[in-house]
Amino acid sequence: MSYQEKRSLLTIISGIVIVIVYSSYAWNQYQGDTSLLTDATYWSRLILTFIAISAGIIIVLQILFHIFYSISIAIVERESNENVIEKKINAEFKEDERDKIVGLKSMQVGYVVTGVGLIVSLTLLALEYEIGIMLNVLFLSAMLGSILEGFA
Amino acid sequence: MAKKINVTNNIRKLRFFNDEMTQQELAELAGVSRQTIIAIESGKYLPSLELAFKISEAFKVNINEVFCLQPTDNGNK
Repeated sequence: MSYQEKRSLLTIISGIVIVIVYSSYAWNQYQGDTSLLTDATYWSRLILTFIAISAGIIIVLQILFHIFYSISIAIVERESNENVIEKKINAEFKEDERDKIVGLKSMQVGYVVTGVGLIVSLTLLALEYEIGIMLNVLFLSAMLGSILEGFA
Repeated sequence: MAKKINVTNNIRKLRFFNDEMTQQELAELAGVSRQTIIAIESGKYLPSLELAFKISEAFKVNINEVFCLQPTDNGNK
């Protein structure tokens, strides 16, 4: 498995964990107070908080992953020469034309899923569902889109 | 009758005749990852013209000795 594939796997796992945590938290809040569904400010704040937290977590995880991956390469290769290690790490981390094409295709998948989510959420709103449901569908479809980007 | 062009490659053979060059060595010479070489060799990925030239340069042969065009019928008669 290449560095890019492992990084995608990490993004998928962290995305799934964030969705599960958000869903359980939002469900618990909803159980407690059903009038929350009409409170757009509450859901907007909650979603924004989760976006900020998840972005922070993903950045920290990517940095930690990069550090541990570099260390593992040095250990596996049993190499002590810094230049040789750096060369091997650069070779592993290099993004070539195929990686870029795969990246573009996966981004396309993400956009499609998010776009479908936007249409579904607007349809729900048009059908006079509560704003809380619309915002949650929008957020979850965006998260699903980013998870599926990794799979693609 | 429309014809579908199929591009095949001799990378595996050329690696063998170049002192059994590894996929990693070829990847380093062409400036791509080993995964990309694996994908090209197995016919799953068609490289850009630039990369195709780099691969042929790595073997010090003409590009048409690495990649070959094989016209095939698309099945519509």
